[in-house]
Amino acid sequence: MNNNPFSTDWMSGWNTLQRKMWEDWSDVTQSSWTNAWQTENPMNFFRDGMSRWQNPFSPPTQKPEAMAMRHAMGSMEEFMRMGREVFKVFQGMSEGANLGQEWTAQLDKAIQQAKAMFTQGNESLYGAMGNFGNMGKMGNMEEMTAFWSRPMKAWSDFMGSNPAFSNDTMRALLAGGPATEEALSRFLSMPGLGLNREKQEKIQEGMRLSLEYRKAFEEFQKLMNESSKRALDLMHRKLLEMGAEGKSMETMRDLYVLWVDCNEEANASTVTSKEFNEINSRMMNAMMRVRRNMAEMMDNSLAAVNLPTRRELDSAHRQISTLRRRISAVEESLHELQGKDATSEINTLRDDMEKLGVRRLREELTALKQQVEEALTAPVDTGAESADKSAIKKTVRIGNARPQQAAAAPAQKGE
Amino acid sequence: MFPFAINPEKAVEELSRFNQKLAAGVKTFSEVGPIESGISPKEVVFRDDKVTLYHYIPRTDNPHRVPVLVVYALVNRPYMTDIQEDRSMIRGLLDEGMDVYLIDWGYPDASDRYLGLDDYINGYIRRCVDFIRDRHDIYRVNILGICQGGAFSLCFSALHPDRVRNLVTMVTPVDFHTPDNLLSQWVRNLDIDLLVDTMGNIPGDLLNVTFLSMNPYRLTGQKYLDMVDLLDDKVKLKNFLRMEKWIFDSPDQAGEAFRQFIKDFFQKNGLIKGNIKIGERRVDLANITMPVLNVYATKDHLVPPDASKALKQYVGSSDYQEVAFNGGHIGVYVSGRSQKEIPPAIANWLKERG
Repeated sequence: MNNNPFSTDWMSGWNTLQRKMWEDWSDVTQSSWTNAWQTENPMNFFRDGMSRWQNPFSPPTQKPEAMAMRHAMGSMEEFMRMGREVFKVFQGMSEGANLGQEWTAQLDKAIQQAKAMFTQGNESLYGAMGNFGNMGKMGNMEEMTAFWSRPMKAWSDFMGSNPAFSNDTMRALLAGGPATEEALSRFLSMPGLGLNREKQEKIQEGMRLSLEYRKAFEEFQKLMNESSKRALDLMHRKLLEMGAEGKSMETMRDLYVLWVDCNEEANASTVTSKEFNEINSRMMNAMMRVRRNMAEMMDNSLAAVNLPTRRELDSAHRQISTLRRRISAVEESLHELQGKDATSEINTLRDDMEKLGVRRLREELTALKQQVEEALTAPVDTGAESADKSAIKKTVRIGNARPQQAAAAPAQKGE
Repeated sequence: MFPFAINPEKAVEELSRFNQKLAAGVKTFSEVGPIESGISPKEVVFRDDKVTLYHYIPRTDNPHRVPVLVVYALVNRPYMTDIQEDRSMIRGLLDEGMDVYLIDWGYPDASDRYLGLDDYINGYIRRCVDFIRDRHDIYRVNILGICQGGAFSLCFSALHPDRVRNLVTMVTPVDFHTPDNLLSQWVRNLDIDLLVDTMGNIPGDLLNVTFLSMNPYRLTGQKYLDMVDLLDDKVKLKNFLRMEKWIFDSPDQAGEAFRQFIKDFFQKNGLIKGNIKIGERRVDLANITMPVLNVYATKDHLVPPDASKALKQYVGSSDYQEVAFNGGHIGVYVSGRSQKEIPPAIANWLKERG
């Protein structure tokens, strides 16, 4: 085989192979099929594998092995998709036939084309919330953008999987397009009248908030698109550097790692910017305003048919918390009254006394007492000594006397 | 030179090989068995609402007489500290002769929406501490606070210094406004009142997507591609899945506690400014007069080192020490090196202080 990767000797088979690849990719999620594992098409393994892996893990659960497998599947999809995109770029580059030293110009052209994905209007925005990973729409704008814009996919997955954020209304808000916006603007300019005036105003407020959310989301999408474009520039630069150094990518995996590195680098510079903080917060805040408005309208509807509302549940939960605190306080008071804490405090005091070296003092005191006892029990030799011991004995007795007895002594003396 | 030496045949062969590995991996998946959460034997000794206090069975004959209470964060689950036999900070402490307790916060639901930091710190933590004091007939316990649990431990120690003998903080944010604190920057302009008033409890998934957004391409893509290389090794796969389970096992956050934590700690940086009130009392870090050991990770992307090291300036303790671990926020308690470095460092420090 010629060393030129786009020489005609393998390019003749390449077009056939690529066509088969596209066909298989399109089929993967569209058709039911059998016995694909044994077919001759080299790309059928993917379709067959999809089915084999998904079966043991469906329906989806939150078990880690199922989650990991699903993510692995997603990564596989991404890996394959990258392969497809890269091949497409190769093919585009090879259309100029002899690459020679012209590959840098071709690469530049390919990168510029890829960057154009992120500047061609808002097509990706309007599909972003519901169509990530839609393998049936191969090669369209939204899918390509999703491939390059993983933070948006993470957001989309979150929105789709969490019931608190996911519903048709939220999706519709983003999928409506300019026509919806224009219609909404007209509706919002209508003044409220009659009995339903307040209800109408609430709906109008909701729509106004929805438009704000759409704008905020669009801003966010644009920012992430800029990040993706920076990632492409980085990739471009790194590939040129590799070419200049005489290095080359040997595997698809190498290319994938380079793609990840470039995107992470671009993402890091985006998410640490002040602009991101502001835009991301604006989007979140706008979304929360929409949700709050929707919850309020829902509450009004529930109240109208005498069903429990969020407001009532919140009130009940607040009371539960207050009661819990009161019960804890009562239990602790009871515990204290039962004197259980005294043991702990005594032990603590013992603990502190030990730290202060009281044990040593106690031992010295015991030794002193022993000396005194020995002195008292020793044989009497002289009258003077006898008088001294008698005095000591008396002192010891007074020291042992109960307080009231000791206090009574002077009074008796006084009498 | 053209930088691609990949032709379609090679690419298809590579992808085919990859696919075969993944297909073969289904068998390993089926054999890997249940993914346990926490491996060291433990007993439930106290329950308080959804909070459970665990006591780990000591692994030495005469454990240290002052037990250690581990206070973990509300986000994610505390079994990260005991995730697998050869990656367990808890086991390391037990092997060093420590007597270890751990607070498991459980999974808050809608009925916990009004739990505030006062309930967590002056309520649950205090009652767990008091239980241990009673059980061991001691007045003060050792506390080991991790991440957000470290911030809670700081508050508790400042409010109840008479109950804490020694305080260990691990990867704990203290100064929330260091320039490299990405999480803090992200929440600076969020309307937290609106968020909590609208959502009630904050979904764990929202926190997950926030953490993933820090490295979205690696954490949601490349990681799983790399996983395929582990599929022929059951042990390695199981370890991967344990970590995976932990990462996505994110309890919802009680709304009021979340509101107060984000506003007072993240947005107002109140811990170092001294304007946080828990219940009726202001938290003053100068009240922390007991010995303090502050463990931080030099490559921590969630709690940057400077955010932790700020503690030194604010505590009232004259016995303050730091341990710098050369690794990241999670590596500090699960990496192979941390097993050799961190538990012994903590245990020896505690033993020296009685």
